[in-house]
Amino acid sequence: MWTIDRAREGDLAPLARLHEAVRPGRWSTDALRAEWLRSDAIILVARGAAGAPGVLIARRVLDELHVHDVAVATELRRRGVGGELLDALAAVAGPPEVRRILLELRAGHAAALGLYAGHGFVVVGRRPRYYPDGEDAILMTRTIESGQSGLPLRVDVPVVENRAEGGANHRLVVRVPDWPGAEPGQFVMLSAGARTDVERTDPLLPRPMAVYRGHAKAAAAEIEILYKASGRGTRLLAETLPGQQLRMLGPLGGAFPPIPRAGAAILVGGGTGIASLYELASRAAGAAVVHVVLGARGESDLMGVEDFASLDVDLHVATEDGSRGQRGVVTDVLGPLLDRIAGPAPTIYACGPTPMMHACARIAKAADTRCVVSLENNMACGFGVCLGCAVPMTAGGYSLLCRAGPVYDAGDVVWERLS
Amino acid sequence: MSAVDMRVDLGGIELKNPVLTASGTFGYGSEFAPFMDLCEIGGFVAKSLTLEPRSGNPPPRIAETPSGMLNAISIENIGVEAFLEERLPLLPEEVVVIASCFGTEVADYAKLAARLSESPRVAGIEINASCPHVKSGGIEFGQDPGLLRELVVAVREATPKPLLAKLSPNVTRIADMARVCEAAGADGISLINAVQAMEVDVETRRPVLWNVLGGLSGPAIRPIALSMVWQVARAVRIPVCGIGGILTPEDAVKFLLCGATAVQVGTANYINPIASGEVARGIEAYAARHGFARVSELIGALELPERL
Repeated sequence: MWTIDRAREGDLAPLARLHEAVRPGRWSTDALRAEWLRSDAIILVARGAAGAPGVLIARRVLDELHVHDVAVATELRRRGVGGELLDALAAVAGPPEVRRILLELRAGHAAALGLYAGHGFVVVGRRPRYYPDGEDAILMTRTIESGQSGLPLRVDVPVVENRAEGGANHRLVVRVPDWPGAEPGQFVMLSAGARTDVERTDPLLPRPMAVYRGHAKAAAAEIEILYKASGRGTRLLAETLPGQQLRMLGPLGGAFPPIPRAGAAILVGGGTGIASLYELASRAAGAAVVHVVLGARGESDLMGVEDFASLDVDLHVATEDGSRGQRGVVTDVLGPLLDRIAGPAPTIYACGPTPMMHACARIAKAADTRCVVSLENNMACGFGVCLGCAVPMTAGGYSLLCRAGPVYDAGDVVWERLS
Repeated sequence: MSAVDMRVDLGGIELKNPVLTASGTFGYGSEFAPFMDLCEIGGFVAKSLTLEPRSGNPPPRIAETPSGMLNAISIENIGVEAFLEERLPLLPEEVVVIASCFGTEVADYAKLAARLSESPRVAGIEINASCPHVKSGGIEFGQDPGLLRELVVAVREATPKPLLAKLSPNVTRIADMARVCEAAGADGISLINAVQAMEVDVETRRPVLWNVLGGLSGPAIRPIALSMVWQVARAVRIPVCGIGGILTPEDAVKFLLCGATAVQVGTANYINPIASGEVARGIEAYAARHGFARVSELIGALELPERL
């Protein structure tokens, strides 16, 4: 029962204690903090109900990731934590930047050798008397294949379906060849104005849109996208007919941390933000306790509400005009819902307008629980080169939403300075 | 394959075809590897580098405008050392890399050019004397002929590599600025950088960019760029690299006809990451269709009325 993601500042002290218990003298909190601040360092943490039972520390060197340490709490050994950390490492840093993961281990450490071999590592060398006590080191590498980590595609995709769904909401289905699959929270860039049959430079920029359904890898996938025809670009998109082709790039961005099996979560969606949450809810429904709170101005603006209603989730609806569910906004539902839940408050996943997410973040903080948000921002490319989607971070500096996001821990973001 | 010879010589930089990508629109190159073969274009100009890593402006940094976009990133980059040590080695050997230098002092540019010239992987240096949205440096140099001369002379002394000077369109007489660069020892002229511009949100009564002023790019500026390339190509003997709103092969051909030896694809890389390769292949198809054996025959082949 754990989830894996990048370490946050608050993890450093507990991780240092974990290291101290497993391998004393190697990582103090200060040393871990110095490592965590390095731009080439990746620290992944396995988080469970009872704290952080596992940590992996790696550094990027050119196109390789060098694993410096994998530590797992003694009581959780042989439960797959180490292997999941290694798989997660391959997933967070894929090609083209990273092509190989490299590590070394003691020749006599047969259990570890088996663990790594089971996760795609092969032995590539031996360093005689590498360790201070004279033991040899075994060198192992794992190649990160193209496609394995879901490299984005640039394809022209035919529209299968594009229909109005009440209010300004629309449902678009496109057929994507060789779709590498997507994780909950990932998005695609869709040309809103330009189609392969119409040259149009106004609007010029593609629009980021969450993948609503169709996350499975497939040779010919049908990807579903929900959008609101609100501006010039999305109104042009609404005019697109089945058979016409759009330009698509994706999947892009990172994923929501998964909802642990047998755990619990509260998903809060507002407006078009609802579209980012469906796959997350769908994967956890039935296996975990999933509370879903959806909000919009009125019933006709509610996106995908019937789809959520068909899932095994605890669904709540709020509309500002009271036309469906509770009259009010999602946070009017969230507070009382948290009060009713016995025991520790579940993680809150929020996606919607920035003020809504900020309000969720404050409620989560007051309830002493984690809040992850999927942010929106202006972007021209979606793959890290226009540098438009800068998110100000509490640790200082900026993070690019398209590469490091769109999912962030609410506490890592400077809300007041978001655009 | 057609028999068109696509090679051009851009001030001593041998290119397999006349298509480069513009600084700031192509990252450090490897970002595009998932989408295209980096070897199918003539080369690329990397994101402008400074001596130390540099963080950019707060958001909002970009905005869409009619047939264009505004940006005010402010030369966010990883710094010259990280570029040389971490990013250059990721690129295939045959990719032609032109490094772009930015600084607030003439000495910064010279130091950068010298450091970059130590790498055999750097084929040429482009001076960014034209960034329209930073407080100091960049456009300050590009708008003052005296400062521009001083800058190009200093960088010329610092590097034996082919040297391009990238000009701002925000000047009264672009041809004069190009002549200054030629006299100061530049091997080529790149133009135009983004046009200084702004946009306002009437609901909030605020500028849309945090920085207020930004740079306009995209097809909206292409006719401006074309006119300036034409003027500069007639004013100097060194080659010209045409930049400004190129989305299609036909757009690129227009720049060649107006006298550009090569072009740089910019904003198109954001909206279609395979645009530069499409432009390169399309120029070749155009040349073949019109019976040109060498792409260089297109350079300055504009049919002008006799009165000119």
